[in-house]
Amino acid sequence: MQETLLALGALMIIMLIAVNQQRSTIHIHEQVYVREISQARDDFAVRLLEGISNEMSFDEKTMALTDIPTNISSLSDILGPDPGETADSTFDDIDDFEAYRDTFMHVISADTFFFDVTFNVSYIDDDNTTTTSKTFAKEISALIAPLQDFGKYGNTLTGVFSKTKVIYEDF
Amino acid sequence: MQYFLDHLASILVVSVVLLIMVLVQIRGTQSAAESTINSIIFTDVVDMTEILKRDLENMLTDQQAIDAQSDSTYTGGGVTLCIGDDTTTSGIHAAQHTAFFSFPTRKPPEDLVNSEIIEVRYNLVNTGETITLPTRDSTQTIPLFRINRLVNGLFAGGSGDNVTSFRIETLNRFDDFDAFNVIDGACSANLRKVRFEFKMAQNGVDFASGDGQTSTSQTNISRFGTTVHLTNWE
Repeated sequence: MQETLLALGALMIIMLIAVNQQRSTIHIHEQVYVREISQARDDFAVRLLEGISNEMSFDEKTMALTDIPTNISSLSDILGPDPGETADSTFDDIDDFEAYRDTFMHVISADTFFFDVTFNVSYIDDDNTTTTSKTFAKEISALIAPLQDFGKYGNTLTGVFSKTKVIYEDF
Repeated sequence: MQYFLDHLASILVVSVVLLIMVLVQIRGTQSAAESTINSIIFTDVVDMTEILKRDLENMLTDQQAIDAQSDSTYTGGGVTLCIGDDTTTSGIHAAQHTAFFSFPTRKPPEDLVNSEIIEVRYNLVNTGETITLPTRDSTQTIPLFRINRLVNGLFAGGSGDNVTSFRIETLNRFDDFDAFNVIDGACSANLRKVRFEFKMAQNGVDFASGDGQTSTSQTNISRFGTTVHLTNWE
């Protein structure tokens, strides 16, 4: 009887060790995969915002001007898409992305990732803080969440990553 | 004999315990090896990123290089070339590679006062080696490359022999924000953004663990990409 109990105890201990070992291995793999998706997400975020700042005008009302405007009242009163602009393919200035949400595909080294992106655009003042007053600087933020399921660790990525870029009228 | 029969249960239990201990030990060794390989490959990726990023951020326009030639030994005459190449595509990395990328820049900041204009060139070189990588349900063998960095035609560093994919994309002023693409030939004078991406892989753990499973994790692969704004080109 005593031997049987000892044997059962030994088996219990060894099983715990084996399970912990397996858990440790899985944890390492998950961390590596999370880092890979983070790198892809960072790459996507920079690519997206650099692309937007490259293509879009600063403001709907000043895009036709040949000189940089000096009067703040020449800027749009409301940040957001203008009539007829419903998707990013029709956007023509930075603040059209305000409150815009879409799914984007990102390919890096032939590996494909999908991200859900929510944009936010606001004016910023000289102290780099957002303001409701019109200024000659706008900040575009992209809140990016991976759409793939990365289990427990994927949840820590979801909705917490935000990439911003400040764009000036004379960019 | 009588002794073994009397303690048969104990002997069986001890055997099982020892067997599990050995399997756990082998699995642990495999896991440690994977972590080390991952650390190595990630370090390689970061190193190559730093080199590329620094060069690209200092990239000059062709005209700037030509204008600066009067006080330099540079004889390239302005050579910003982005050369795409789809002949090296294979396997799971069926994206277009960049065969070489060449541009003028200045020597490092410590020589800024009299810094020469130099030609930096990145060449993607096939090493002739291959690597077998796990896919979702099997494995795939793909060629390994090396990225050579040349300064005025002379070898000046680069990556290790573990690159599986290298691609440089460009975006011209006012192009659609999603229109990054590999081009084949001279870069446009309106070039504003350059994005690079590459993927590296190191041979993984190739021995089977105690339970007969080989490692199928992809911890021996790392990929990186970023976009650089060319301030000199504004």
